[in-house]
Amino acid sequence: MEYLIETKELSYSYKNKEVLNNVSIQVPKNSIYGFIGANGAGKTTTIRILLSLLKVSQGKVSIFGKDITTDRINILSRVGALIEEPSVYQHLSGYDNLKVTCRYLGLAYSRIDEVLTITDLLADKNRKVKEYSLGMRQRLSIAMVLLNDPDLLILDEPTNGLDPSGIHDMRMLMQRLCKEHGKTIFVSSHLLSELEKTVTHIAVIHNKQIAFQGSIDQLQHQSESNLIIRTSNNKKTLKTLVNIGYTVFLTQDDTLRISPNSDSNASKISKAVVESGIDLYQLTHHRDNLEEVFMDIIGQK
Amino acid sequence: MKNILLDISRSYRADLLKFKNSKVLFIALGAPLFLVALFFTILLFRANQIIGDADNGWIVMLNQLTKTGLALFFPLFIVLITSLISRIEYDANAWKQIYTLPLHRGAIYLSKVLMTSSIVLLSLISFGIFYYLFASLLTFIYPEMFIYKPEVLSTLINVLLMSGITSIAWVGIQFWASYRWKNMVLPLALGIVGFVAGAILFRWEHAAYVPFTHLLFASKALQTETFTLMNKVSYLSVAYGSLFLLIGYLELTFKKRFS
Repeated sequence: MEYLIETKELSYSYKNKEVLNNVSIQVPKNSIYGFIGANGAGKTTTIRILLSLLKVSQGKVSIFGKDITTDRINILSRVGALIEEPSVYQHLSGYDNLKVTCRYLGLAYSRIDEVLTITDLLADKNRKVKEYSLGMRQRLSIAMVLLNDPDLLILDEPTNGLDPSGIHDMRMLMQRLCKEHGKTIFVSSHLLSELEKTVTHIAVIHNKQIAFQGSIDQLQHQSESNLIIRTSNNKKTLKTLVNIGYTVFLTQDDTLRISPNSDSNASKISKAVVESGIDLYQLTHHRDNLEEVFMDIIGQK
Repeated sequence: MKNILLDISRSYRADLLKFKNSKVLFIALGAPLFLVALFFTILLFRANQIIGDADNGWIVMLNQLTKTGLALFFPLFIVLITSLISRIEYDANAWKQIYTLPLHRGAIYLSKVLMTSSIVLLSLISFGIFYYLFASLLTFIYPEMFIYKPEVLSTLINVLLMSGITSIAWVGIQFWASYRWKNMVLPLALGIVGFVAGAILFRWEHAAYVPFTHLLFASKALQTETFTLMNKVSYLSVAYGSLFLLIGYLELTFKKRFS
């Protein structure tokens, strides 16, 4: 498998404080690679290192098979990046902002209307950016990223400030860019529910280290499948089920969580509860969503 | 080398577009216009008292503009304009985006230096043009006092050249400060402190080594009949300006964080 981004044992410290420790990631070509972590986990630091905004103190970074420290310009000519909040000149129009980028990159202005159409800003191109909403500025930043038709997009929290329909549009855009245009997208976020619907691969960064890396399917297999029950007397039910050998947890929302999940277990449990004289209100199968898996992963770490 | 020149050219063109709708061009042209218009207004009502028995109103007007403009106005103008130019990137939070472009970082820096120098040069040339326009107007109003002679042009060229060369130290220091510090107050404070220090230290025997005095020296020299364009102060100004621009470039080269 070809990897567009590879980091090997990447470590970084700032003012004697360790920020990244031994981070090794591999981003497959033509993937949408989600990079998840809590605030302060090291996501933006990693992205800044990938883009050569921070000098690598330890470890190696290669993009398109080349070392970022020695081949910066060649690499960045094929990369489009969006880092944290939008970098736009508010006194200029949307069109002029893109013209600035075209001038930097030596591109023809003919591409501008195309990217404005993709990001649904064509009608507002002549308005000054200070009149744009936050969502429009975010989309303008995406338009800037797309101008030179990069092979790799590195997006740091691209859905910040977008409303639900904007987030949906961003998701569709990323999927279209990957599937129809063969782009590889590296996207960081803390919106787990959105990444789950968008990405093909995922890495979880927690406490300066990679806690998980793999495809979405591999992550889903890590999730646990449980039975959730709710009764008229959860404490008595818990004792009853533990006595007959089940692993049971009482959750914060006053339900009982039992593993492992299976149809035969569901049948035995419901029978045991009813024979104990307890009223059974709810018995459902439950599979952890990405958020719960994420919490388990960082909890384990 | 060819790539770096191309990068400088592209950066320069991009920087040029950023001045659209901004205050930079307004101040670059408005400041010299204000200064010349102010003196025009004074001369309009007080020509007899100010010109007096002097040979030529054109030269008197230029001398008065030079005395006040170089000593007071121009240094503060440089402090303001260099801060405003760097603010464009800081306000847009654009540095992180610019440094992820496939451009030599030195080219980006040099483009900024060239752009700042271009704006200062634009102001000087505008000053010359406005001076000619307003002095021509006074020639119609007071033909007996304002008589155009060929030496006016050569005097003006000397003023502009002297101003340009002796401002290099100021431009270099203020450019370095405004590029280095995101906080706009710091380079402004440095400029104001430098301006006051220059005025206080001007009479010291080694004042020429204080870069903030150079425009004062230029102003004084231009009041005399004979002066040398490239004198000790001029060379020191070029040296200081080059030094601070080099320091800025080296800081960029060894920088570990770009944000």
